[in-house]
Amino acid sequence: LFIMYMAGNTISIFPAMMVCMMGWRPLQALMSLSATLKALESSSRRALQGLVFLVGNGLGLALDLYKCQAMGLLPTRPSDWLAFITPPQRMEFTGGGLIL
Amino acid sequence: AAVYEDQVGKFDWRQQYVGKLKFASLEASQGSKKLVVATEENVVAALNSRSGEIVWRHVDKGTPEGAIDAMLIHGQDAITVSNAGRILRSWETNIGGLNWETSLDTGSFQAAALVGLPEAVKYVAVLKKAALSLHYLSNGHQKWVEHLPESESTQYQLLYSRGTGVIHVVGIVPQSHLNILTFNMEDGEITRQVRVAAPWLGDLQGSCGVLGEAVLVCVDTAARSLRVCSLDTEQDMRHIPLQSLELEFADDFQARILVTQPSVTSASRTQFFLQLSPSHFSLLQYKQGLLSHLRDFQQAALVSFATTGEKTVAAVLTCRSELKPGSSDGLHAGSTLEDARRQDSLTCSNQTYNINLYLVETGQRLLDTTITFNLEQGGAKPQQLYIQVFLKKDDSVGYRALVQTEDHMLMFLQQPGKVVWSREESLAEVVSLEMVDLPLTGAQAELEGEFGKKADGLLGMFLKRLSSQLILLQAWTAHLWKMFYDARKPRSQIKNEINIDNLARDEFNLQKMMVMVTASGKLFGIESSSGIILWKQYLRNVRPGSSFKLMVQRTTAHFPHPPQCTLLIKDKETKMSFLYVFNPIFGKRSQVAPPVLKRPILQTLLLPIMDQDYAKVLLLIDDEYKVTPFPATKNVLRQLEEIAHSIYFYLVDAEQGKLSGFRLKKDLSTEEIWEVAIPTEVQRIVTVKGKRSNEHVHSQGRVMGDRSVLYKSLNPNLLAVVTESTDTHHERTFIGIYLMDGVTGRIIHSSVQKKAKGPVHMVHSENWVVYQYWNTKARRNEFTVLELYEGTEQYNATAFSSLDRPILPQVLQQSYIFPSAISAMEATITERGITSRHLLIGLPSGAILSLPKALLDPRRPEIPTEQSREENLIPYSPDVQIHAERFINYNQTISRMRGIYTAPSGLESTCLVVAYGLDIFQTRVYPSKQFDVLKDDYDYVLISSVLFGLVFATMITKRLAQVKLLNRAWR
Repeated sequence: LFIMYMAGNTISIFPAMMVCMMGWRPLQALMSLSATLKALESSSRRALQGLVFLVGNGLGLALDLYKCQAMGLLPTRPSDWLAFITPPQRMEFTGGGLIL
Repeated sequence: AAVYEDQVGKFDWRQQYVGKLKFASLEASQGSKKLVVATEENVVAALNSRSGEIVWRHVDKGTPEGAIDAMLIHGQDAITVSNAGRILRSWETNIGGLNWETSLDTGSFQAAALVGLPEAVKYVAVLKKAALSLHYLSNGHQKWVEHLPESESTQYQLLYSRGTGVIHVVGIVPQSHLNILTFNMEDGEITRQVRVAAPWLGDLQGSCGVLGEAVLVCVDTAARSLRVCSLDTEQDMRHIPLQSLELEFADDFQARILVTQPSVTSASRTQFFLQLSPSHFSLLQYKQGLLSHLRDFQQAALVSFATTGEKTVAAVLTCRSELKPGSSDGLHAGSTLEDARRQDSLTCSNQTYNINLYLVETGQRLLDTTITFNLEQGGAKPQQLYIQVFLKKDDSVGYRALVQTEDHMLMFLQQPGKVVWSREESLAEVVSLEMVDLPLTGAQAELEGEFGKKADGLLGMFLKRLSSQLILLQAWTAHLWKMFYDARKPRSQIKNEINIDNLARDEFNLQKMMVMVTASGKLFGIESSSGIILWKQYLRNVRPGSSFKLMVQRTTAHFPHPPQCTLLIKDKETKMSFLYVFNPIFGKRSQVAPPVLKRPILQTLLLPIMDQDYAKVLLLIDDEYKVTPFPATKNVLRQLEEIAHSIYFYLVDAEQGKLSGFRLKKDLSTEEIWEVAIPTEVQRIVTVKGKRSNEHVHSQGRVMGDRSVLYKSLNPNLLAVVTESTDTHHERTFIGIYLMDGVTGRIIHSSVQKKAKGPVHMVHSENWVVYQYWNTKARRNEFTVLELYEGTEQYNATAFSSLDRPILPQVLQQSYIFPSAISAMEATITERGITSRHLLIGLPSGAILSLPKALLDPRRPEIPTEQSREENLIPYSPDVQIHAERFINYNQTISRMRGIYTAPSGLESTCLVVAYGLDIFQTRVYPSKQFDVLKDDYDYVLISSVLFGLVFATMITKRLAQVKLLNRAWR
């Protein structure tokens, strides 16, 4: 977390790599949720432990998203969609000019 | 924007012109290499007589101030009088240097002549309305100047000297008498002043000439006779009736006299031409009081004299077949125009002409002196003839001829009819220009056509596909074979010859056909990458001063329908207009019959709707505000009826200061819906500019520093109207800018720039308008840019209707100082509008400056902030500098630039540019650099060798790894 803070909000290769890693880890962990749950089968408070694992990883993801947002990587502003706006259709045609 | 040294001439070219000839001089010797010309475009130039290239050229002002009134040749010097007789210049004709220049007194110019004694020509005499002055040829200093008596009533027009130490000046009081003055050459004293009654004479020019020993001969058309008197003795005019010579005068034709004076130090020839009708000349002789008839020339188009040594010959240009009155073979439907011109339009039916030489003393034809040449069918007739005569070794006469035709084409001819070179001088006056895509190659077209046709069963389609693929294969193998064949030849021999048959679009659509309309009424098709003229078509009956509008109705995209261009020509005097429809690739007249226009056409509108043949519909609005569609098929009329409610016209009447808008009704009549009056007493409308219809805007807004969007106000119906004040006093002069909606007539923005003066150059594109004017207070040129924004919210993102715009756009404005005046301005345009825009500014120096639009941005902040830095806005600085590296035409200056035309190419990064004026220059520009093309010096060898090396290394290591694994397994 401290490293995340230190990395700042500028977009360059190292912060980007860190953000990617930070997002990838919880995702990977969530993918292997069943495996983890299997490992926890012996435990008595299985449900709670599973929940904690889930929440922890969720928090990690949320933090990553927040970081992305802070770095401006999420397309949340209208300017991010500007390139996809099609020109409005023309309703009237006009022409003419100085009398020849 | 500048090019590297090795890119010079790679994709640009320049053609230089001189314009229509006014005066020309051909040296009278066989070995001479140049001809000196002075033209209507105020150019003095020397042309190489072997190749037709310009040896040197001097371009004077384009205004009447630069007009050349006379040109005289003496040895190696050419003397010109320009600016209505104000400036006398002497040019060295070999290299084009200026020997000297003197300014003359004011007074309207009448005539100029060289004056000399028998031993040497030392002076040049200039005749003005009220004075005669004599100047030394060596340095231009004035020897003397004498006032002419009775100059208020008398028009002095004729100047004559023959090396006897006196100068004769003949003046006329129309319908009354002639005033003949004789000056002493040494001191300018008037030695004799004679008054001769001539009540039948209105003008000296053309109808009088001086022969032999100072004998004035005039033709009296009314009495059908010649009048003769001597300038040396006091006597009345002798009357010689011409009936005795059996010469017939044509009705209502002012007969003309053509004389020749081979050398200014000796007398004129006693022989002269009398033109009796447009095509009838007669060679006469007046010697010792006796008039004799030497030879008659019927069917002659032009005559000319030429002298070499002792021999003087007359050249006569005749039509091979009979001259016929203007055959209405129907180049266009405007029959009224043809009637109007019948009077002087005698055409040669098969356009084959002969030039023959005749000895003037006897009128005898010289043997083996015939030049036969052909002009294009339906083309122009010859207008001027200059002859260069020389004596061959066997003392016979040889000659070359320079012929200028009506369409301003120059031809240099050699015996027995070889065209040494020709120049298309009408290209010095391009008035309108369009670029048309070239057609696809046959094979490509075949493929395209397959998709265009209706489906006829699975098997049929499959067979068709197979056959077209076969054709493609064939073309490809032919191409390969050609490459293989060419590879064995040395590189210099391989020429990619471009001609009209192998025209085909290139991969990136960088080659196009430039269709040029010139003021003389000649159309040209020029291939844009090489500048070769592929076709030309002269429209007869187009009078000078007509207005033209060129429109592309169908592009080449609709194979098998041929592309179609339409030219609207409107005569200034008769106000009648007609359409000329043609194929822009081959220059042929289209089969489609254009509508006959009975009323004068005021304006046109090209609609985006198409008929079943994919031709865009052209609407023509006439002076009764009725609309004529072209093409007018049922399909079109039905479509028009459907969308009539959304079609509007605007007409701008600059004379009455009125802008009015019209709406199309279902029955193709119109109703006026708005009118804006701009009082002509205060200001007059100079320009009105809408947007280009083919312009694409990729981005609908601009991203701000805080990542919100400022939406552009992209009103396709917006007009920018510029007015100038009628008061030109520098304290009170102003210009007005109005941004107006062309549909509703609503004024969106108006501003008045005080203490500003035209000429105003303007570019209107996307959501901005840039204009340039002269600031009379600060005495400098200034640019102002206006940008229109809707704000951070878009009102209606899906459809734009001018009728539903509750919010006025925000207008941002900024001004800049520009260090130079400008002569033309245009913005670059690209296929999809992603590339950043540049302004192309033509400077009077002949350079074209490519100025990024980002420098003319009203959002440039005075104090840069974090946000403006985020937006990449350049901090405001009032002056825009001219950097030489921004010139796109390096040292290829364009004289007297009148316009710049830009066209998109198939590559998004590339924009094609044509600048025209006296010269024509074509190049490509890359406003955002070539982001979609590999560089010229891209190292293909290195990249591919590295790639192959890596692949090879992978294979080797794979093999090594396998071996190692095997070894380990054995261990």
